Amino acid sequence: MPVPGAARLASLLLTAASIAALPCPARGADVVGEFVERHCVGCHDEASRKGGLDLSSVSTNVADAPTFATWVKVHDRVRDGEMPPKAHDERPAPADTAAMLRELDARLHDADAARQQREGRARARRLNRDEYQNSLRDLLGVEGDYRGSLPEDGSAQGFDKVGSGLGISPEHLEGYLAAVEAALNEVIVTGPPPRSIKRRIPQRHKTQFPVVSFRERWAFLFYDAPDALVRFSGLFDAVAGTRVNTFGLYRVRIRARSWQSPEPMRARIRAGNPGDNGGNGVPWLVGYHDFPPEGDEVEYIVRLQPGHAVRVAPYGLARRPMFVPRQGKEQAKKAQMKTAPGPRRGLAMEWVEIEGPLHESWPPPAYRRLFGDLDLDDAGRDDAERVLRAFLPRAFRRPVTDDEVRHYLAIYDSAAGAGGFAGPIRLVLKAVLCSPHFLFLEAPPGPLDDHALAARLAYFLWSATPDAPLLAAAADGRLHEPETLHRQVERMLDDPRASALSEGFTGQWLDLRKITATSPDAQLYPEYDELLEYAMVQETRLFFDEVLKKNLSVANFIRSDFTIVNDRLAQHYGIDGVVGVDMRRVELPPESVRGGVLTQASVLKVTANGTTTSPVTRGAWVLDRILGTPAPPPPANVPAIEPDVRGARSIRDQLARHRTSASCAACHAKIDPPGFALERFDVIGGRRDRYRADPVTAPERTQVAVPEKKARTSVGLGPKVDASGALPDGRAFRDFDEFRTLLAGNPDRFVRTLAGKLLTYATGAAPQYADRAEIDRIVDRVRGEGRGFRSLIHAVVASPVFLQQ
Amino acid sequence: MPHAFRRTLSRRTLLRAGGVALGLPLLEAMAPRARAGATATTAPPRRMVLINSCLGLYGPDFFPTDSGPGYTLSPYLRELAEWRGDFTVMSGLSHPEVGSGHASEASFLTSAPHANAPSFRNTISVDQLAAEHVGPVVRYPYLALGTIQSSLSWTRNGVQIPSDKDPGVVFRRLFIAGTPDEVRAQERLLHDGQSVLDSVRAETASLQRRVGPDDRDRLDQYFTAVREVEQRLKTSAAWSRRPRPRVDVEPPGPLAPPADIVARVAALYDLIHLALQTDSTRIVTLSIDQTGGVPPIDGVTEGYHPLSHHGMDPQKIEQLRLIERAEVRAFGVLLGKLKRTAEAGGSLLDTTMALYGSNLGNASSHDPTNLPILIAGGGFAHGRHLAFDRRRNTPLANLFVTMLQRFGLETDRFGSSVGTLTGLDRA
Repeated sequence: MPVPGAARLASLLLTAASIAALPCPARGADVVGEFVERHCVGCHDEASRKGGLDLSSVSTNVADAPTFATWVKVHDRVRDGEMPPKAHDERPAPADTAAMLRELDARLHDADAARQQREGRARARRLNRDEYQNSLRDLLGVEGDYRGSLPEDGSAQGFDKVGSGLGISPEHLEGYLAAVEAALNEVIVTGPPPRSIKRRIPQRHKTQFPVVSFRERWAFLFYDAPDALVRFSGLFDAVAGTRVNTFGLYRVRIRARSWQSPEPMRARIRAGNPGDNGGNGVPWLVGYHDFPPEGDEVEYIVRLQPGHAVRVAPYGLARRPMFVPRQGKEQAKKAQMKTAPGPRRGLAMEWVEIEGPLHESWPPPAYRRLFGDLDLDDAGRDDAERVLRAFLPRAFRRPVTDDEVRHYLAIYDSAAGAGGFAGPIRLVLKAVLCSPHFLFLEAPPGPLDDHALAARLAYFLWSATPDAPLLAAAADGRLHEPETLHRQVERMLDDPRASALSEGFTGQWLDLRKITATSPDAQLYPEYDELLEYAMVQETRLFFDEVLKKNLSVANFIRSDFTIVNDRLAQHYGIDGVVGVDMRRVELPPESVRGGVLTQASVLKVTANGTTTSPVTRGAWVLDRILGTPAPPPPANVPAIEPDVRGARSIRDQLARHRTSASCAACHAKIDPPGFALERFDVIGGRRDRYRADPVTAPERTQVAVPEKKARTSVGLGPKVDASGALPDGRAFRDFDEFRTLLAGNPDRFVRTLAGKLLTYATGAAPQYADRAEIDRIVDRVRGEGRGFRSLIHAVVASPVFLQQ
Repeated sequence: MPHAFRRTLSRRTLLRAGGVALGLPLLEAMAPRARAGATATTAPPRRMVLINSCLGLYGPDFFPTDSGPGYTLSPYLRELAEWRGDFTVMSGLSHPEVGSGHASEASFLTSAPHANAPSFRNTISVDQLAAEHVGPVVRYPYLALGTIQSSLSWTRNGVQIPSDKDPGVVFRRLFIAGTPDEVRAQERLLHDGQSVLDSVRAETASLQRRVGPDDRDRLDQYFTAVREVEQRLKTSAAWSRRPRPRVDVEPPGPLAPPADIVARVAALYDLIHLALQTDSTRIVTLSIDQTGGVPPIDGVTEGYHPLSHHGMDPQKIEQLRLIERAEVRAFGVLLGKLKRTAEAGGSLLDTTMALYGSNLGNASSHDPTNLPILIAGGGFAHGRHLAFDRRRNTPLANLFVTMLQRFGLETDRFGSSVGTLTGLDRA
């Protein structure tokens, strides 16, 4: 079928080929042009423009970004066998397809590699909030959290480490000025140490407890035992200690025991500002602890602001108050405090001790780190220069020039006229910490020098500034050598600072940071509670750490025979024999559906909206995060499906129309199947056979346990869940289990996805076309090393993609 | 780039030569920008309040079923019946291609498309564009407020401007003068700030010489930020010496619990009224969001967010109505206060455009089309329901153009606009 324009196209391609193929003159005839003319322009021409694509008029100048993107799409769809369509009469011979792909790939690769060499693959970017905070912590040795001064970071390509998401505005600069001012207040101290307190507060009825609203009449919530305050309800988060007046680290010790119960009683400990609802002091979780009948002490180190206190609430007690006869609130209060209320279980709080601010030394370590033994009252310009010569290379992560030192000394001089050392040096440090040399990660295109490499490593694995050993390795000029690099990565992964990687990477790759974005519908999911939420996030993070620490195969992220739970999460998962609130590794029983991140409640929760699950949302999530082939965004002119919990129509029925429309089916054939498989799990990650429905209108009900209240309550049951489906290639699965088996059958695909995510996180740029070959090499390399996670990190760090800007 | 650098250098030299310092009289110390409408002595100042209810407003109860001047008030609008002649309700508006989900919140005042795409980068919000034209005639060109954390205000570089949620904190900033010690400390900070900025400017310029063109862009952003902050420091320094307006009201009480959405909104509305009345600011954005459980409203037993995903469950819809009606009622209280505050021959409402709406047309399905929108005051001819095509929506940004023009900006486009909003005329 002769097509107007096709000949022109072929000649254009030839011209472009001769340009793009310059470095490899051996390439033969224009197989791409011929292929496109024979198999593509029949539909993708000016007249038909199927899928909005007109290949007869697309330029072949692959140096032009949109054109390049078009040809990448052509390459990928032909490679994946999606084009030409299977229904097409004339299928290209496999050898022709392979030859065309080889040629097109070579051209695209060369063009992109040339662009990378010219412009670099990653852009300069500023530090994000976490990196800024951690850098202040490591440079100055401060303990405060200064992130609150800064605007929230944007994210691009799924991470807050990519330049295009990290805009900079006047609000940032104002934030930096404020944060540094506050941080330096921690460092530049004069005079005696602030008074520390150490107070043991016996828990008697004098303990404050917040009186919120009392729609219910007073009940037996408290009992004043001789040596303890017994609490019978988790209703209140009572303040169990004094409010502090000074910022700092505090040691908090709590002694309590279970009351009238042979089993330990669980308590939730929080810290924050009791009066401030949702302000900056919004109470945060410190931890959970199980107190046995014989009593136990537990100790935490917490960072408190003025006005903050510690609060304790029992977990697992009926919340329903025992009603007392109607009478005045005050009388009722007295009555319940003094009367032993029968054989009820409770938490007997004996005392709470609070000690701090804890000073390791005075002046504090932060002062010593910066000034050594210097006495600020009689320090002068020479001392300022010494401080600067030590501090600048740490702040800028590289050696500094004399000019740079002079620049900052001039600032010192300009302020020194007014006298004193503390004022001028404070000003200089402020200027250093607002400098673009500190705030921006940048490097010229090409291989990173050793100092830029040290910074890249440190912000990848620690989200923090390089430490002394790393800077020393860079100064020796040996950091880029494979053995040094390997040794440093090992050291860094074993360092506590590497927790930033598990928080930052799981927080974004697996969306754990969105865990509180929605609250599950209380009628549909009455069993959901804060302990479960805490445990599910811990599970995923500790699972990540376990795979990393032991260099287990990353295939464990798809399917594992273990996971990390405490008793609450074990109960949620139906795993027996787990006692206690501490998270621990358990081997999964063979009949358990769990194993792999797709079965972890955290992932299942962040991919649902709190009320319903959508196969589209979850399917698109799996395509992006696990398979590495994100679906295009939904077309703007198609309304989203309106969820209907009344039980009349299942989401599957509503999605059925996608399969009948060819234009929808192209994407939904890929999006829906993983989502269908995940229908096996509800919005809080429970395994389900039936959907839940409104308990009032649902025809059937069942009872579920509500551990937080130690009660059972009824929920409505809707239609049966159907978790079957078929992959785009036709392989069918009957349930989630079989879907996961199919997924696990192609571990290389997952390694490639994960390597791409790690590279994005580490370099601030998503994988580009020219990186594909390198990523293939990473996949090959770790295949030979059991696909260990640590091995993968090493392979990523050693790859040229990581080592260049 | 060398050109831009030279230009900046010369500006800096100029500043040095001119000896611009904190002590200069107010108006001189401030770069006179376009002060469209705002400072002209003859025309009254123009103000805007922009409010987004992030969890939607239940459509069947918001939208009137008939249109035009004689339209029948919908259940929600009945809460505003008293001010019927002071607002216009609109249907059939949305931001084209904004993308579904809560992500569209970011685009409510910017109209930037594809808010849910991984490569999304926001553009300037309408309030910030207007704020650029307010100039230093007020203590704060704008206030960004929010009930929880989110903010509607975005800079040119797509950075979300943090919002304030605690009316007490903002009240102190607007109306309470610091102690002499605090004022001195503040002045030291401003002075320090100037020195730091000088240093940062020089360092940024030297770094710019070393990097590639794309990275230079990024540093340019920093450069621009430096200049802007320098300006702000000067403005603050000048304002720090001027007495704060005296207001004869009790300072706001402690922040209500996060679940108590209506109390939080009402307290912020009181503050907004005070801020506008005292001309402390001309522009306010308010993002209404809710977390933290069940709002303390009789008959409501579930959280606002879960209720907004009602899934057509009639009981949930009933509860949702209770919350949203109370929320609309609180807005009516603000309208009443603005209306009753007299200003130069009219009321404060006449000079204040108050936009109220949501980035979700149907929160239950996260649908960002057919947004519930109303605008009150601002000197427009009101009292009508402007019904646009519910299948082929008119860009909401058209309304923003109309508002910007009313504000005094000479502009005929904003974001995805294709004109001004037909049917909204000046009174």
